[in-house]
Formats: sequence, C-alpha cells, structure tokens
Amino acid sequence: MPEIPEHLLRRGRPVDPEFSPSELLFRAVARKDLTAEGFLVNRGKYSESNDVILLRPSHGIAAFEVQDVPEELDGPEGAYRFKVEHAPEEDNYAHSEVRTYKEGQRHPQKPPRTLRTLFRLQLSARVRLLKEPAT
Amino acid sequence: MARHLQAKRMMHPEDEPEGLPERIRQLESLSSLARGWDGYTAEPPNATALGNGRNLLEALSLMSVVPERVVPSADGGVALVLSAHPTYRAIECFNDGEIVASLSDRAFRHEAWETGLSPSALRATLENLGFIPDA
Repeated sequence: MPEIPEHLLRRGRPVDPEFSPSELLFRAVARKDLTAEGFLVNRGKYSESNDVILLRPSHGIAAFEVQDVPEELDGPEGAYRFKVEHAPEEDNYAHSEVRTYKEGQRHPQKPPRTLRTLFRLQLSARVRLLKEPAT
Repeated sequence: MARHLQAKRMMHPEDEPEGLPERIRQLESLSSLARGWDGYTAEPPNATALGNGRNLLEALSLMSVVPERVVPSADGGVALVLSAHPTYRAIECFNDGEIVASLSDRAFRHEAWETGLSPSALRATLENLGFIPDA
C-alpha cells in the first residue's frame, strides 16, 4: 500500500465549496476509451494529477475543467442540473463529486439513462487524457 | 449492393477481418470483470447485458454491421462501439435490460435514445446512427 502524500490528508480542513471554472479535475481511467464515465474526481486545487492513480498504477489519467461539466440537461421528466462539489475524505482531501440536482434539490437517484449517456458524451468531447492506461 | 457498401464504409478497415467471432470473444471476456473494474465502483456486466449484447452482435452481423470493439460500460453493462472516430456511434446493453444508442461528433452534436432488439427498432437505430443496412 503506497503512502498517502501529505497534501492529500484532510487533517481537519473544512469543505471548500468554491471552484474556479478553470480548475482542473482528475479521474483515473481503466481504458482510454472510457475517460468520462463516473462522477467521482479529484480537484486540482488540492491534488496532483498522479494522485488519482496512486492506488491504481496501471490506470490512465483523464483531466477536464469544472466548466467542461455540462450544467444542465433536459429529459422527459424535466431538467437536471450538474454541479461539482467538494466531498473530502480523510485520506483524500481533494475528493469531489459531480452531483445531480432537480428542481433545485439534490436528486438522490441517478438521472435517466439517456441523460447519463448524454452527460458522458458531452464530457468525453472535452476530456484530455494526460496518461494512457496500461491496458 | 450500394447500401451494403455504405454500411461497410463506416467501419475501420483493420477491424473488418476480425468480424463477428472476435467481437463475441471480446464480449465473453467481459464476464470475468469484477466489481470496481474501473478503479471506482462500476458493476461488471451481468447475464442480461451479456445476453443482449450477444443477440445484438448477431442481429447486427445479419445487417453487415460489425462493431469496431466491444467494451464494458462503467454504468453497468456492455457497449458495442460501431465507430469511434471521428463520429462516435454505439449501442449499449445495460444490466437492467435497458438498451441505449448514442451518437456524438465529439463537438456539438450529442444524441442518446432508448432502443430495442426487434428488427424494426434496430433498423431505425442504425439509420439514426448513419448506417444504411441491407434491405
């Protein structure tokens, strides 16, 4: 088990809700054609790109900016909004999530499948692959 | 014949010789994935997704369409990627039985819609994806 870098340890630091539109977000990718699947990321303000593969050294690294995340998508049941939010963990202060809102409220369920697919397509068009996965 | 050739031109030439048996092999290999195969929390494809994927592969081959690749979906299921570049075209079979087609020019046009395995649904989907299968 690799040692967790000091800058990733939370050590009582509070949630930082402020994201700049150009802040980078990093995500480990198992395959180079799956760069935008999933809603868990590390924020660049508190981490380095390599941190996302600390525990997954064979994975690649995808990067995109906060402003690349689709803000809103319309579906048959109304509009869904997406927002990047800081969700620090004790051993990963940079941990963040793309969360879904509907009618102003956090939406606990996933959006409909077609919207999730659209979200992924839009984000994929903006993602940069910083490191290719081994497989 | 012209309609057949138009469908064939959508595939990468280097993928054509491998054909259906290779794609079935790729599909079957996905059954060995474990939960979290993406480095996060993705479910592996289940029997429903794999079965629908197999049926879809066989139905597409009857229309002279062989996907470029078969990959897992981080949303739980399998994706049959009909073309990756420059336009992304795919049909995904998910663990809950849903089947979703998607199209993206990786810039401005992104579309996703539910589809099915019936000949009429599949033919309509292929036409929406820009394929013109054999009559």
